[in-house]
Amino acid sequence: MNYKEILLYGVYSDLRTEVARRFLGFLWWILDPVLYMAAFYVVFALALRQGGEDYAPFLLIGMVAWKWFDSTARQASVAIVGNAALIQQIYVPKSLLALIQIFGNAFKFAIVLGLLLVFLLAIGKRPSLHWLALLPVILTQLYLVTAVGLLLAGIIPLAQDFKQVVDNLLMVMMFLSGIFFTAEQMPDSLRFAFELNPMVVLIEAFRSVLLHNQWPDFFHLLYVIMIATPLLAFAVLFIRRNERRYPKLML
Amino acid sequence: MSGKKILEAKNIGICYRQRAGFLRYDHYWALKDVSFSLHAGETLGVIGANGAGKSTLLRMIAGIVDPDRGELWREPNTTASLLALNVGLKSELSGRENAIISGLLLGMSLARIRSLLDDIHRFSGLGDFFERPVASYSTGMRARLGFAVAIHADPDVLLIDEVLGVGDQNFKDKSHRAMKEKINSNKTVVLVSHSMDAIKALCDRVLWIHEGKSIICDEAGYVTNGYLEAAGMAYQAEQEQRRQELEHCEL
Repeated sequence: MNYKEILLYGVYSDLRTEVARRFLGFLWWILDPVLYMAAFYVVFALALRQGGEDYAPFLLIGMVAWKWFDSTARQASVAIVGNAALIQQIYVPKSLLALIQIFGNAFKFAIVLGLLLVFLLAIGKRPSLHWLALLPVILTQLYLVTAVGLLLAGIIPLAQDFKQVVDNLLMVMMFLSGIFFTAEQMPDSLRFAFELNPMVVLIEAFRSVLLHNQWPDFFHLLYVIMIATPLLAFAVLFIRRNERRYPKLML
Repeated sequence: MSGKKILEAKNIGICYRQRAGFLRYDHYWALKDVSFSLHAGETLGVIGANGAGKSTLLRMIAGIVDPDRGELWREPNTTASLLALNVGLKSELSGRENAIISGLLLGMSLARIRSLLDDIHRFSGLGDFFERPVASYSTGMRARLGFAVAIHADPDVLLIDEVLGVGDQNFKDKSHRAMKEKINSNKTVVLVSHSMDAIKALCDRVLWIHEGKSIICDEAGYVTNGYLEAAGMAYQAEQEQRRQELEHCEL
């Protein structure tokens, strides 16, 4: 079995399916995040009168990074469960099913990021050499979402009730990821705990590059990698251990 | 005829977990005690009543599930896969794209599938429909596409669950011919069937399982005769019981 080809063609065919299923096709990859972000913009910037200068780009950068994490976690978590019929019929390495979701979402993120950059240029932000630092920030987040995606994909088939927990946890995490406010706005007593969240760290890194034209704190990125590595190692081992148990669970 | 041993199972048991209400699971042993061996180049038939565990056995040989007890040895680097239809069909994509997905999942390389696509197209007899979304196919057409791909996949051990009657009479003949060709060639085949005629005609040896236990694994004619005899005896016993019940009522 050629895993690389299955992965690439799997991502391609999933994306093709999404395009083919809808009348507006690939436009939804643009419309969906735009509508989603517009909703939050209306609530937080206009209705609740949050922010001040640069609140719109501040909010958008946070939402774009968060949406990537959120949709990967959600879709990867059902990657194995959703392919129950398939894995009863043939042997496929289960991590491949999760990776297809993870890479498909990375591709969609790339489109949204492109839109975000266009938006930033349009409102007068100017790129500098610092924007090159986007690459390590993005790779760090890719590493994190891969770890979290595989972990959820592996655990949820064994305890499907956990899916409900994950959904709610993601919502709490969204409000605590510093999308709507910065760490400075947190009470000092909570700030330390707040900054333990790797998504807070990543969103901050995106903002310092795109909003303030500064280098991200590379120690912070290292911290994210140090959080993600044990998760990834555990997830890979866990899935490998249960590789031939998953088909038995889904009758 | 039979070459070296490529798979041996000793006292295999396979257990499925089923949800049985609030906070409870039931364990169900689909296979309890099965022993047999498989030799290169032979065709092994598997017979037994519904629910005897035949499909579970095929899944184990295909490497989809692992035994929970007993010993399973297989020759390293032998591939085994089910002649599975409709593996991961995506209804939004064309027959051609689906053929590629199924082919990859059945273990073929992309280059190999591309070189076989014309053959697959011709074998399926789908004509122009091959380029149309699978959503527009009838059930028979889907099965034809699935079979056309599956018969072109070339695992070391081919597992066939019931000699399938796929499509119309014309295609049924064609698919039976293709299957017989595989079976009569030097390929290792495991064939599950309820048709004693097919088993006798096609298999070298037969494994008989009853309620998850292997009764015997021996030369085809010998085992099928025993099986039919046992089935006959069971039938007679049933008739006898019914007669007695009737008499009982009359009294």
